[in-house]
This record gives sequence, structure tokens and C-alpha cells, in this order.
Amino acid sequence: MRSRGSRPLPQGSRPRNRGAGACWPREAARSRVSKTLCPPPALSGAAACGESGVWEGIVSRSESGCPASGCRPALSEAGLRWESQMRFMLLFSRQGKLRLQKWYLATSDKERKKMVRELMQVVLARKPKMCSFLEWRDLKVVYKRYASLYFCCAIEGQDNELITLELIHRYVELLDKYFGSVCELDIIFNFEKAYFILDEFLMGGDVQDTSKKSVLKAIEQADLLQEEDESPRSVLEEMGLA
Amino acid sequence: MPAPIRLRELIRTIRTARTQAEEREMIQKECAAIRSSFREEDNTYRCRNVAKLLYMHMLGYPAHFGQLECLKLIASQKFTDKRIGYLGAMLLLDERQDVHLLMTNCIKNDLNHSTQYVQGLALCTLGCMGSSEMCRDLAGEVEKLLKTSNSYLRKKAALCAVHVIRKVPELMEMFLPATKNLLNEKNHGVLHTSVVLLTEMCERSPDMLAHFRKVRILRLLRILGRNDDDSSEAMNDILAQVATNTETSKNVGNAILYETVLTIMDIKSESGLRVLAINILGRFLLNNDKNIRYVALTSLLKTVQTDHNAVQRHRSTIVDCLKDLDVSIKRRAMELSFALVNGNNIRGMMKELLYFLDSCEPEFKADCASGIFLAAEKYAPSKRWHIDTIMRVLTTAGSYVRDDAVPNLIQLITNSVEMHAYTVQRLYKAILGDYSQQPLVQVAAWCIGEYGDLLVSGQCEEEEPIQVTEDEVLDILESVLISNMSTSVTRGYALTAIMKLSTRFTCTVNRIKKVVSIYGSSIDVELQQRAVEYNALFKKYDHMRSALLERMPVMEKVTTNGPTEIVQTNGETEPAPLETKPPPSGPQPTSQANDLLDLLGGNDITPVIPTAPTSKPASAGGELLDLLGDINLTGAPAAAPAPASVPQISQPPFLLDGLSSQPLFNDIATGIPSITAYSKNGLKIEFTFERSNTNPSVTVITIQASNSTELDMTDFVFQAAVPKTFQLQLLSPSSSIVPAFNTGTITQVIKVLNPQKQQLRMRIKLTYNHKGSAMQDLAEVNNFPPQSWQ
Repeated sequence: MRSRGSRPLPQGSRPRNRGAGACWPREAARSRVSKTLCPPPALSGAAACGESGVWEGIVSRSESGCPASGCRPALSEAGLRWESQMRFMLLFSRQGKLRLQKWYLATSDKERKKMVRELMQVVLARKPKMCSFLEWRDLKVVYKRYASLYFCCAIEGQDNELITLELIHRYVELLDKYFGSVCELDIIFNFEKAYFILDEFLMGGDVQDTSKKSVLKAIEQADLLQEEDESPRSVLEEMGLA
Repeated sequence: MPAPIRLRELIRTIRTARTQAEEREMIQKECAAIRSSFREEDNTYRCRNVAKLLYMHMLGYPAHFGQLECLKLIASQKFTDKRIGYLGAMLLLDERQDVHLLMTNCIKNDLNHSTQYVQGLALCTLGCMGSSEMCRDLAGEVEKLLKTSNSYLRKKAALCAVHVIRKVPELMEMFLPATKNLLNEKNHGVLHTSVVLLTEMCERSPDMLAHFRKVRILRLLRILGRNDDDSSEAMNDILAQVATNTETSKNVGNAILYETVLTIMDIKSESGLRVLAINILGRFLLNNDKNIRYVALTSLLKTVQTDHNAVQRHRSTIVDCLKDLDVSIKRRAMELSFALVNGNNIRGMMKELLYFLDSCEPEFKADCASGIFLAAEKYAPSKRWHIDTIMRVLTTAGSYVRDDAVPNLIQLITNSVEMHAYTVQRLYKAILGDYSQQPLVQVAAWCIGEYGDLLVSGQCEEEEPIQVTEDEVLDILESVLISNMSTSVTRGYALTAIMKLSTRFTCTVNRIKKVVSIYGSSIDVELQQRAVEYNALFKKYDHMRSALLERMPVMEKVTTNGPTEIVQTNGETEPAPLETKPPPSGPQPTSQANDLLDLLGGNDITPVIPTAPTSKPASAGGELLDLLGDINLTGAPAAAPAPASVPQISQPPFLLDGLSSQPLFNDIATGIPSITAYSKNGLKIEFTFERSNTNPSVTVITIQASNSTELDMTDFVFQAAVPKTFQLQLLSPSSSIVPAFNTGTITQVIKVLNPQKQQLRMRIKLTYNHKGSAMQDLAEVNNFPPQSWQ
């Protein structure tokens, strides 16, 4: 587990920055995404308890890096393909504010805006009791709400909705590990980090790595590289200012 | 120049904005600062500025002016710059942008960079937004990275290759050699991405199938198994194993099972395996997780056509899902339930679906109601059950049914002659004290009007007889007329019903006269018109009233719900009412044709013009007009004579329009030559023919009268009569004036029913005023082309 102090935060520390001044969705934004992350009732029913509830069987084994075919993670063993082609992924708040957008198919800016607006309306109008899937245009939409944030993926007809739900959940877990009990404000103030993590996890809509550990390790290393960039400059800056 | 504010500072500031306008103002200010910084080619803060621009872009503000800056960042030596630069490129550029050309070089350099994270950024960007040109240019580099020993790069390269192949399929060949080793991978990430790559390749190239038969990968199996019997068989065992051995206590397990099911459905599996798959879905339906129930229902819907019996076994579980709290699940369950209805389970299923109709959210009611109508029509075990079911729907969800439900039900009732007494009693009871369900009230009003005598006489074997007096019946119809819940159309039905009762009831005619005359001054134009017409019927043409208000004949089935073979395949509905049978009042039309012939024979006391349909009392509102328009079988009332002056003077044009715009015939003239039926004294009458394709024994004749003299012919009336074996219906003419100099024509439609396909003969009678004198002529038309009657 990473502690806050050891996390590289090259552009000023996040906890100090966030939450100052008045803003509309502040209260909601503060609530921990991970609150809903721990027991994902819809995901696993009775089996969900503890952070790694859903993933126990897979993650721990794959993270142990055991290469023998006998103890491959369940997903790889079954050879399950995560996606055929995810079209896009959106994060938005309950107030309808876009927090992150990732498009895996070339789409014009105008069309993107239109789709985002339309889909947000559809998803936000859903009642909590409804299931996580809906058909929208020619796509299947899989969404899940974590605290004040909606995570929303559009997939194609042949794709597996259940596994997409798992994928969203895993992304949330990654964010949670990286930020340490993540909340919407973390994603607002460090949106680029959220993108970096997503790009390290998915590419073209496909999962790059089933191991959380290796995704986070890559991000950490890249963050360190960034710090190396910055430190000499900040010294210069200080000198310049002095 | 002062250092621009930091990204987090900006975000915080923007979040203090209380209104949209305030936010916009802040952003415009910041954008101006960023632009000027870009203009000054400031390298130190470019990264920060682009990051801020990305934030504003996410808020929906234009940020395209940062595109070139992203490229500059990518070209920078610093990792921070590259990281933000690539992020910006992925967000701000889309495929069509020319900047791509510039980018290709940067990416190429970075793919060969010494730091794996820089290489990773380049791969990721290429794999996310690389255009086909870029893919072509850089495929070689990607292929090189696919063979590197670095697993971090290899997994990214594999996914990047997937994107390259999606963009430029012919580049697939290039990656073939590298894939050989990918399946022996030990690293999970690389193994997974390799599978993605192989799957993509196999999906695109059937030739590759042979290489990968042994790969134990479900998705791959699924693609391999498509249209390939041998490999499907080989896979059956594996799939059965996966299906039975997968742990289902967790969502992932269910996800795998689901994928297994999809695979089984997709390949040519043996039937046992398909049943196993459907049983898995059946088990899914019992799962606590609504998402799993949803995918189960969706998949069952897809397969219900092919594996009907296997799905049928889970019927009760599916029906239970109708009670689910989640509307998406309810909807699927409803669709699936309708797909499962057949002749054997119709009674039970309808009970459940009617219960559902009663309790479901309003958004379901319309679909559910029409689903029930369709299923009932297809599989009704008896007519009585059919009528009961439709009535249940009308009473529980009356206001949600579609418009065509009313005429359809009326037609069904009319055609079930033996059920008339029963139906009218049921309907009478149903609307006692509740007029809120408009379609129900309309049907009830129509039936009470039509079968009011049966209601009062209380002859009904099935129901316990009720004692209803004529006044009670009129009371209820009058309260429908008064009720403010009634729509204009409903009132029309009620008024017409009251009018019809004037010939069916014995001691309440005066009361009916009174009601009708009251509505002669209604502010509802439609209602007023009807009342005025009925009033005229009482006063001037009382001798024709009983003939005009005759009971409706059995109606011909209008196939609106698809082809008739649907009905035939079921074999459960009696075909009788669907076929054209002579109306119960069979002798009626012929005797009237006789009358007409007599009339034509010289007895011209009553001026006769067969404009009957418009003045016909049954035409209450648009629906009924539609109904009439659809009757191909000409019954007595339609051909009944009616006074000439009434319709022509008092009919507002829209009513006529409404009628003449009816689709009277379905096919356009199929090459039947037209004839000149009459040509004398400058008056010429031409006949053109069309045959109805719903009923081949109906010939539709359109007459066109033209006038070549120098004066108009006024008060033009065309009449026709045919021998007894035919039946004839004359629709109203387009006008009564034939303009001079051939400047216009009168058109009028005649429908002739010729069930025995005899040679057509017709006598016509023409009366008109010309040059101040009344003209009259008789003629016989014998030159009908054979195509018009054979």
C-alpha cells in the first residue's frame, strides 16, 4: 500500500489544493468514490466484502507473477477477451459535469459533445434500482455510479456487458490505489493523472494488463521521470525569482 | 512577463464561479493569456498552458488553438512535456487533422527512444488516434517493438498492432511472423494483449483459422466455430467443461459463463450444449444481481426463435421477472413473454400478462396492450375468450391502447354473430358508472347502438340475464354525451348509437328525437352536423330511416397485422370470419337493387342519388369513416338510397374529402382499358376500372362526366343499377355541376361486387339541368371489358 507522503505529486500536493473556495458540487465531489467501491453489491452479490473482494482470485494470483500455466489468473485462463471494441469511456458527475472522456474511435468534436450531452441525460435519468446496462443508439452502454461520479462505457453489440462492468470497477480500484481513497475532487484536480492511469490500463479499448500492480508501477515510474524533469527547473526558477 | 498561474490554481478559481457567465468570463481571460504566451513561443510554461487548455476543453470550451502546441510539446526533450503533449494530442486532435503528418515523425522518433515510458506514450497515442497514413508509416516500428524482449513494450505494441490492423487490414501480413511466439508468452499482460491481437486477426482473415485450432480461448473459439462444423464439434467438449466448472459466486465467474453462452450460441454447437447454455441463462434469471438477470433476458430474447422449446422450459422464471423492480428487466421480460406465447399456454400466459398490464408503469401499457391484442388474435382459443381478453385490456388500460383497437374490436364483435347478446351485456355492465376509458366507451356505445334490442330483451345464455329498460340504456348513452370526460369522437359514437336505437327500441322514439334535436345546436361542429342530419332523417325521410339504420353486415377482415398466412399457420382461429361471407342480411341488397331497377324503369317519383355513405348515420367521427372506407364488401346500407339535396347542400366539404381520400382500392389500374359508357348531347361519361386486390370479386369503377357544350350542366345526378347477381355501391360524386367546354369533370366511384364473375351489365340514369330545361336519359352499358369482371 502506498501512503500519501510517498506518492509523487510533482505539481504541488493535491490535498492542500483541493476544496478551497466556493464551488457548486463541492460536497458531492468530496465524498469518497471508494465508499461505493468497497462493497459493489451489484457486482458480486454476497461475495463482495473488502477491497479485493471481487478480484481476490484473479488479482492476487496474477500479481504474484506466477508464470506457470497452472496458476494463471482466471480471466486469462478462460482466455476471455475484455472487449471487442470499446467506443468511448466517460466520467461525469451527478450534476452532469464531464470529468474525463476517452474516445477510441475517431469522432468529431461536435459529434462528441452531442453524444456526451445526450448520453449524460439518459444515464442521469436512470433510477438507482435499474440495472447497469442500456441500449443507446446502436451501442450498449454500461455504467456504474461510484459516489458522485458516473463511469460510463459504450461498447458494441457483440461485447460482454458483465466484463465491461468489471473493467470499470478495476479502473476505479486503480484510481483508488493511486490517490488513496479517491474522490471526485482528486479526479477534477488531477485529471491528467486519471488519463495517464487509464492509458496505462486500456489501449484502444482493450485491457493492456490484468495486473493492477504493474499498471501502478508504470505510472509511478513515469511520475518519477517527471519529477526529475521538474526539480532542476524549479531550482532555476527560485534563483530567477530571488 | 509574470509566470502564468498554475493548473490547480486555475481549476480552483474556475470552481469558484457561481454562474455559467462568470465561468465563461474567467476562461476567456485565461485563454487570452494562454494565446499570447503561445505567440511568444514561451517554452517554459507551454506545458502548463496546454494542461490548462485541456481542462477548459473538458468543460466544453474551444481549445483547438492548442493543437500545434501539443506537437511542440511532443518534440520537447522533457518527459513532462511529452506526457502532456501526447495527452493533448489524443484529446484535441482527431483523425482528420493535417497536423498528423507532423506528428508521424515525432512518434517515429519516440518509438525508438531510450526510455520505455516515452516509447509507451508513443505507442499508446498511435494506438488511440493513429490515422491510416500514420499506421502505414509506423507499422514497421510497431512490429519491431512486438519482438522486443521488454514485456512492457510488447503488450502495448500488440494492442497498437490491433489498431493498425483495424485501420489498414492489409498490414496484417506484416505482423504474422511475430505472432508465432506470442502465444507462448509467460507474462499475463502480454499474453492477454496477444490474444486480442490474434482474435482481431482471425476475425479478419478466415485463412488464419487453421493455425489456431488448438488455442483454448473462448472468444477465439467463437470466431473459429462460425460456419465450421469440424471445429465446432471439437469445441463442444471444452465449452461444456467451462460451462460446468466455472465458479459462479463472483461476477467474473458469471462474466465467463456469459461469454461461454454467447460462444455456444454463436458456433454450430450440438443441441445438448445449446440446452445447457439456455439452462445457464435460466439460472442467471434467478440471480440476485439485476445486471445478470438483464443479460440473461437479453440473450434469451436473441435465441428464443431458434431454441424455442428450451427457452419455453424457463417460462415461469421469465414470467416472474415481470414483477422485477427494474424497468429495463421488466421490459425484456415482457418482450420475452410475448415471444413465448403459443396456442398451448395462451390462457395462462395471458392471465400473467393481463395482471402485468394492470400493475405495470404507464410506459409499458401501450406496448403490452398491443402485444396482448396480437397474441390474442393469433392464438385465441375461442371467440368468447378473445372478446373477453380485449375487453379486459380496454377496462384496465383503455386510455393507453392504440387508435386502431376500437375499429378492430368492433369488427371482431360484428363478425361473431352468436356473441352479440353476450358482448353487448358485458359492455353495458363495463361502462355502467365509468366513462373514463374512452376506447371502451366507444366500443360499448357502438355495440349498444347496434345490438340495443338484444340488450333490452335480455336474451343471453351465458351471462345471467339482466333486466334493462330502454330508458336505462338511453340514460347511460346520454350521460356519455354529457360527461366531460368524453372526447368529441366518443360523443359522436354515443349520438349515433342513440340514433340507431330509434329503430331498435319501440317506446322511446320521442325521447330519442328530443336528444337528437338538442344536439342540433351543439358547439361541437362534428356532433352538430350529425344531429342535424339525424334530425332531417326523422323529419323529412322518416320512411327510409329503418333501412338506413339497418344492422351492420359482417365486415371483411382488413389485414393490417401482417400477411394472412400467420393466421392460417396457427389453425386455431376459425377462418370463417376472416373470409368474405355474404352478410346475414343477405337478401337485403338484392331487393334494393331491384327497387333501383324498378325506379329506373320509369318510376321517378323520388329523386335518387346514391350518396349514401356520407349521410349514413353510422359515420360517427373519423374512425367510423375509416371503417367504412375499408369495407370492400358492399352491404345494403351503403347502397341504400338517400335524398339528393341533403348531402349536397348540407355536407361541409371536409366530410366528403375525408371519404374520397379513403384508400378504396389497393392497386392502381392494372391495364384494364377504359370505356365510354355514354355520349350524347355533349355529355360524355367514361368508365375506368380497377380491381381490388384484397377481394378479387370487387370491381371499382370510376366514372368521369365531361361536358363539351357551351353551358354548364347543373344538378347532375348519375344513377346506376345492376342485375340481381351483382351488388353495387355508389359513392358520392365530386360535384353536381359539369362545367362547359370540357373544362372539368365530375368523378364518382362505383363499387361492384361480382361474386359469380358474371358478365357485367349496367343500366344508368342521368338527370341534369341544361340550358334551363331538365334533362333525363336512360342507357344500358354492355361494353364492359372482360378484364373488369373475369
